[in-house]
Amino acid sequence: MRRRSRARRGFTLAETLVCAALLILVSVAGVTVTAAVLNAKSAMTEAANSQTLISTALDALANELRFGQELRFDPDTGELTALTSAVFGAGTCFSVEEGIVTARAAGAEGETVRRYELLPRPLYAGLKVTELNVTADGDGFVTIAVAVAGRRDVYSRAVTVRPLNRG
Amino acid sequence: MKRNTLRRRACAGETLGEVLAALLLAALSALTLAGTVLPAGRIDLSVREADESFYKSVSALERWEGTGTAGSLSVTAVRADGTGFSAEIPVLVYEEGGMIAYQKAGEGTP
Repeated sequence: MRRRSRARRGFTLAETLVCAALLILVSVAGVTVTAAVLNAKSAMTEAANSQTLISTALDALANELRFGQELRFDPDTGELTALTSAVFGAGTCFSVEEGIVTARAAGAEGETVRRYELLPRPLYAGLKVTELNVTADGDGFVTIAVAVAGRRDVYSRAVTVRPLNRG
Repeated sequence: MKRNTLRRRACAGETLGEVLAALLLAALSALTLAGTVLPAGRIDLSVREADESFYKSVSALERWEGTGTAGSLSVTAVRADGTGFSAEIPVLVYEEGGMIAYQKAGEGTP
């Protein structure tokens, strides 16, 4: 009889407060952990995508420079102005247009006759290339530097290439 | 009598043990979720470092940095009719980051 009356009595204020506090603690911990996990996942995905984009861009540009012919550089800055590419043809120059690495092949008069995107669009995955520098040093080596900006961070990488057809 | 016991138990709510067990399960779930992300982050970081080290090594090899050790490359060419030739080419071998580059000895280009 006494047990039934206790069971029907409901919860005391202290029990309810403790329960509410525990629920809040568990909820806050759950939300915090889930938010941290989602944040980390997003950061890792961006870093991995940027790494793939930079590596692919560096490899593609390195091949162009390694096997390209008639490489021409600005005598003052050392920047690549044009080369003859096996893929894109004579008078090819590389630049960044709206975050996309672009190859432009020029005609005899210097006018652009063809425009290509060096890398497939899906590779960018929301990232933008912000910097592309192709610079020769005095020893004939060429350094390619690429920077990519995501929502969280800017990623950059550089590699030095020895052009096989220096002339 | 049995019905009465069941009704009483249903009205009694959860015991402390049940509540603690539920909390433990919730905490374990959160820890498992976090535990899957932390190793992934560590792998991601190590891959990034490996990538950076790879491009540094490639750049060093392209420049033939450091001192090359003398070695030789054996080249054998065989024609379809079975004739051919083989040659020993003296080279300087450069090693960096587990990769190897060759420079033909006595020449500035490979």
